[in-house]
Amino acid sequence: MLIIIEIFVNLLLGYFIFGLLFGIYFFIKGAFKLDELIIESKWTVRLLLLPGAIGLWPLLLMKIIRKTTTK
Amino acid sequence: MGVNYQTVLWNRNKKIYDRWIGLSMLIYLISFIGLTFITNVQTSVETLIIRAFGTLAIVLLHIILVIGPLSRINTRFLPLLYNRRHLGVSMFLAALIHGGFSLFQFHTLGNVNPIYALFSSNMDYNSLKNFPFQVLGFFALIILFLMAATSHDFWLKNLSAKSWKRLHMMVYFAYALIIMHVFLGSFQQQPSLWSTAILSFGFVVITALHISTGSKERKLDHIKTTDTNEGWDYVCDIDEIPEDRAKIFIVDNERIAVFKYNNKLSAISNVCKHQGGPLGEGKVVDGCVTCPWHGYQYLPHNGQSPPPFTEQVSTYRLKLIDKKVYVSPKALPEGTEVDPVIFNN
Amino acid sequence: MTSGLRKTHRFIWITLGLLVSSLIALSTIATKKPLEIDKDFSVVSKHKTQRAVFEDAYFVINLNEKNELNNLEIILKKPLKSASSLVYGYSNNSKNLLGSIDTKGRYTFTIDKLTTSIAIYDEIKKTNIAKIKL
Repeated sequence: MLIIIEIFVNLLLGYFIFGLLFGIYFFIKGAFKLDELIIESKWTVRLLLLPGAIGLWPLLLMKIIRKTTTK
Repeated sequence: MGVNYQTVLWNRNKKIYDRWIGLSMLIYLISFIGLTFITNVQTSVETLIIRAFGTLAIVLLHIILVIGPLSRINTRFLPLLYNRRHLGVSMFLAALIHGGFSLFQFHTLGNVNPIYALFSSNMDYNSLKNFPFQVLGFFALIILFLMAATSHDFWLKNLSAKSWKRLHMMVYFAYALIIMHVFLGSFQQQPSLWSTAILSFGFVVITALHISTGSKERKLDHIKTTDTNEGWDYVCDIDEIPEDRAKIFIVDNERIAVFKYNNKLSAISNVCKHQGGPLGEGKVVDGCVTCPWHGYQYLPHNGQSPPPFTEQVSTYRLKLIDKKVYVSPKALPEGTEVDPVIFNN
Repeated sequence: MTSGLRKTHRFIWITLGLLVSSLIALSTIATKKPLEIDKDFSVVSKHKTQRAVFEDAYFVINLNEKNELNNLEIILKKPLKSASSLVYGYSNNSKNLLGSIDTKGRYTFTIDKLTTSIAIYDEIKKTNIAKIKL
């Protein structure tokens, strides 16, 4: 049981670290790729969206990849 | 959506709403702290913060959960629904302070990762009186975080309406986790008749409200017209529809809104694209159907939001025979233009 | 709301209503003591063979001396900050784990006559909460 907890906690930590890295990318470039309306918006909007980007990075990454490949 | 995104679409009503949220939270916290000092001077500062913000989060969550069904019962509650989003984020922040301090108080200052300690300090899942209730709180906080983090129109658009809705309906699961977090946690350590009764009452009220309003709405879904004319369903007499308002009608279990405006009739889907508000309960303002929940607008003859907005809803064809309004039950693709039925007064 | 969403909501609330009510009822029944109006746990009267060993804001510790073994009674008056506390008994150079204490209430442990002191240990923070001579 303790091993399962250890694996789970490490996975959580890994998810969060990837989320942070994705969040940086999202702030600089990713948000624009996802939605063109962000271009006209202030940087504070992207800052506000950062927690969501960190929390849901796998979903957003898939969407960005899909958008990039269909273009 | 419009030309760009804002952090918050401020307006006078939202500012008033937010001031009320801030003030109420402050009053609650001061009252709670004051009462605790009077009844139990020995309480430490950390314990006080944990309890104050924990109970505040629970109170806010109860308010948030009753707003929906109350708005269905009486439109006087609609102003509460208007900025419910900010209430939700405030509740998350209170829960975060509670969770953060609890994690610090009980699981740090050792040589073990605090999250690991949270899961491993108590693994008595077979026991109700010693259940690892902290784990329930942890998962509830994760759900509330994801909801708060996606409380912006950007996410509504980019996560797809279905995914966003699914995520935000997890609030019900979070609510269940929080109730059990309290009943298996603090109520086991410090059983109290009053606290148990209050929380149980809150749960009963919320559940009863949701189930009763849901049943009421479900009855409406099953209403079928018996008057048909060559495949067209009878809605109502034209005089039954108030000017600049709508009559809501059920077609294939879905609701449509038939609007009367400027000697014209048009029919669109009753469900707003923003957050599913009942368009048929709104008004026609400046030639646009306006959602009573958040003010989203649609042109009645084509179901499209006026530029620069891009939302679209389905439209339906209508015909008028001797003052009787008939609708073709087949929904047209979203944004399809339909010539309105013109009538003389 | 669409009819699909209404159906989902109905399902969720009926399920929650049944499940959570049952859990509330079960957890209320499982509570260690009958429900009290908010007050600290009150200490009951002592037995004739019992002697008081220690008392502070958190603990009352009594020792009930019997023929071959002793009964160690720890009454936890208020919940400890520690999420998990272990009770160890010390005799000469050996250390024995007697059990654990968590919520407020009365705990009894059987100890041998050689046990001279006990410690209440926070296993997360790795520190002794209390060390008491018997």
